[in-house]
Amino acid sequence: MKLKPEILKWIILALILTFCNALRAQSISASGSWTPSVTAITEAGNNYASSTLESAANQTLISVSMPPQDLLFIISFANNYQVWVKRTDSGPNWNTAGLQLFVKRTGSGTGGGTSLLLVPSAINNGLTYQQITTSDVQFFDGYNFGNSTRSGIPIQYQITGVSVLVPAATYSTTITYTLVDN
Amino acid sequence: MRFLLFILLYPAMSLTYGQMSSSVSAGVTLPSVALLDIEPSGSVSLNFTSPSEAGNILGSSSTNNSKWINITSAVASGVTRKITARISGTAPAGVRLRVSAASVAGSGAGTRGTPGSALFLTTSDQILINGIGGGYTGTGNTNGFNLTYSLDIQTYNLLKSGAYTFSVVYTLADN
Repeated sequence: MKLKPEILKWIILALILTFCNALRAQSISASGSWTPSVTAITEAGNNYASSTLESAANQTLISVSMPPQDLLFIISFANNYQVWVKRTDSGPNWNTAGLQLFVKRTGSGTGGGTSLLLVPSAINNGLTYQQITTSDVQFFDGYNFGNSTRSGIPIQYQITGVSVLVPAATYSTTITYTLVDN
Repeated sequence: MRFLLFILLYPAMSLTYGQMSSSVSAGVTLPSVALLDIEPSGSVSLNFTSPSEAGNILGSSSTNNSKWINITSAVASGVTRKITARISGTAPAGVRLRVSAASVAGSGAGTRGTPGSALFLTTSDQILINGIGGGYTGTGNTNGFNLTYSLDIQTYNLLKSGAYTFSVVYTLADN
């Protein structure tokens, strides 16, 4: 059987489009750092009034884009992703000093697209505090449709272990969110 | 031709974005803290008991252990602190003020230091408690280091009757 050149041309086009969609890279963007201050101790004999510091509920906003999983822009399939998180300390190690850094997701953000059948995108997990360690740990996951970006995912932080027993120092860390195409 | 152009351009358009990770920073500064307080407030009165019979020496000094040292200390790694004591003002001639600190008691936690031997105070700083790191004692007159004061006759022929007032200065400082 021999395909007509016109049909063959469109088959090639379909294959290329599908291939190129798969080549599109995912994208994650996080903005909003956090540098809280401790409340000064005013009376000798006391420790800090609270051993916990907590950020605003939307201290960091994350946006996630995924390459479309579709067929010729007509049928979109869910493109699953995971977001992992880790920290890289600069200066004293937080855990050695007795400080712990926690993170949680306080909302879902907006966007992410819908399927042809109007099934909305989704975002799951990460709604309770989990410790950020120096190794990547899975934070939350979800799926988008098409080229849509899920944006404004609100992130909250917590530092525990604040005490005069912790060596006086500036504790700094870089929190890295990594997007994994699932 | 249009078909060919589309095929060539589409991959380029598709690969124009992409970021696998993104970072933000977080940090907190825990400052050095050095706070010291004497509880309860108010002065301490000490006296000698008058002899009841001619020819006898003065009776022994009264003692007072109503005062407590409360501290809060936060130090950088490797730093230790001490509490020194000295007299400010003029102590009565022929008499020495003796002070000792008991081991830390009450609430609190951390590296709160170890008292040394009892001191006869002078106008120069002497170490009363040493080895303080990061710690806190709790507040009030049941927490921290309980102080005991007493008087000691050093030179009998310099004694003059009267009431004398002077201060004891405690300092929490880095070693």
